[in-house]
Amino acid sequence: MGSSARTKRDPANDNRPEKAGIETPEVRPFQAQPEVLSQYLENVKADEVEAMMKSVEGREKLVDMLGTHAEDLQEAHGIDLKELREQIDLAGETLEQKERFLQDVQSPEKKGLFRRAWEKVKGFPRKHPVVTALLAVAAIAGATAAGFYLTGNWELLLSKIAGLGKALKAMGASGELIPPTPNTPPLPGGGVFEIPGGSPTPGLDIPT
Amino acid sequence: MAAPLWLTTDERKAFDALPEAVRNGWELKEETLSFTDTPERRSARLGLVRLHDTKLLALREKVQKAATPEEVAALLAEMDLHDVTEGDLAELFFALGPDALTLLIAPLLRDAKTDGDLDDLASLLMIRHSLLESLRLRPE
Repeated sequence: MGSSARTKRDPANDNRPEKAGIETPEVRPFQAQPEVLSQYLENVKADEVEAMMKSVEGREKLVDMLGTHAEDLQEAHGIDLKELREQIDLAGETLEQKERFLQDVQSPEKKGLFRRAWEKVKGFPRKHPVVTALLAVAAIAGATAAGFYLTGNWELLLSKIAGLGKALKAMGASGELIPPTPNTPPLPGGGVFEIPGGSPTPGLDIPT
Repeated sequence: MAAPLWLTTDERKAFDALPEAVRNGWELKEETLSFTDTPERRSARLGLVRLHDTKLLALREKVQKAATPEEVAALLAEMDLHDVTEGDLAELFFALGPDALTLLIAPLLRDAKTDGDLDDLASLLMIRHSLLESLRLRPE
């Protein structure tokens, strides 16, 4: 199994640029998302990559196409082609699973029941705040920087939301709720997540 | 029409311990599906969340600009799901996965006192069942 959630770090990076005033090379965590893979492939858009990821043949083709960037991937992310293949397979299978789930909840025989379920969930904030907080964390997880987690702020955040830290600890999931994000150099005034405004981030539908 | 209660063996025991007045009238189904989650799978699901709801996108933007964890916690606490689209709710539940729901379901079931409480639970159980069906490995 590939280590999609890993945060391989060069110890030299502990003296981060903003602290040490110098630039140091960093091995960035990698996650095989369509937007990320698309950046390595000329003229293949993210939605085309996503479509390819949903089939075994498409995934094999993607790995072949990305093979020409093996050195770049190794240097930037410390990932070899075998790990890349594993990550692409996992992401592709996950996309297929999500498609099945979204089709199921919209199927004619279940649509009515699910509509009722969604209405219930929408009324949860006051009645079941932990459920709502967990959904909110899932909503922001892809938009937060790994630095926030690594600096201990994530634990602090969870402790501020009653019941949430305990639930995540039981799941063993607090780490994965901050998935690896593309490296973003910290800029002055970048906020608690150190993400500068105005530049598009792969995987997000909003400018960051 | 309320959804049936898809209960695991342990959850069925908790259900049976509820007062009879609360238990009456519910259709019970045995949840036999299971899913072994891993950090890699969870991370992949979270990384593939696709949101379109303006309120959720605004929340992401605000969180990125927040100056302290306390501010982020306050933003999350204010989260209102009222206008969030069904599609985005489905995305978020998929990202969390069935394990998260199982953890949330246990205390809700244990503390259920009214039909309304079980009605809320039925929604989460149905979502979990659908997740389990979607996540299970397909035969080769």
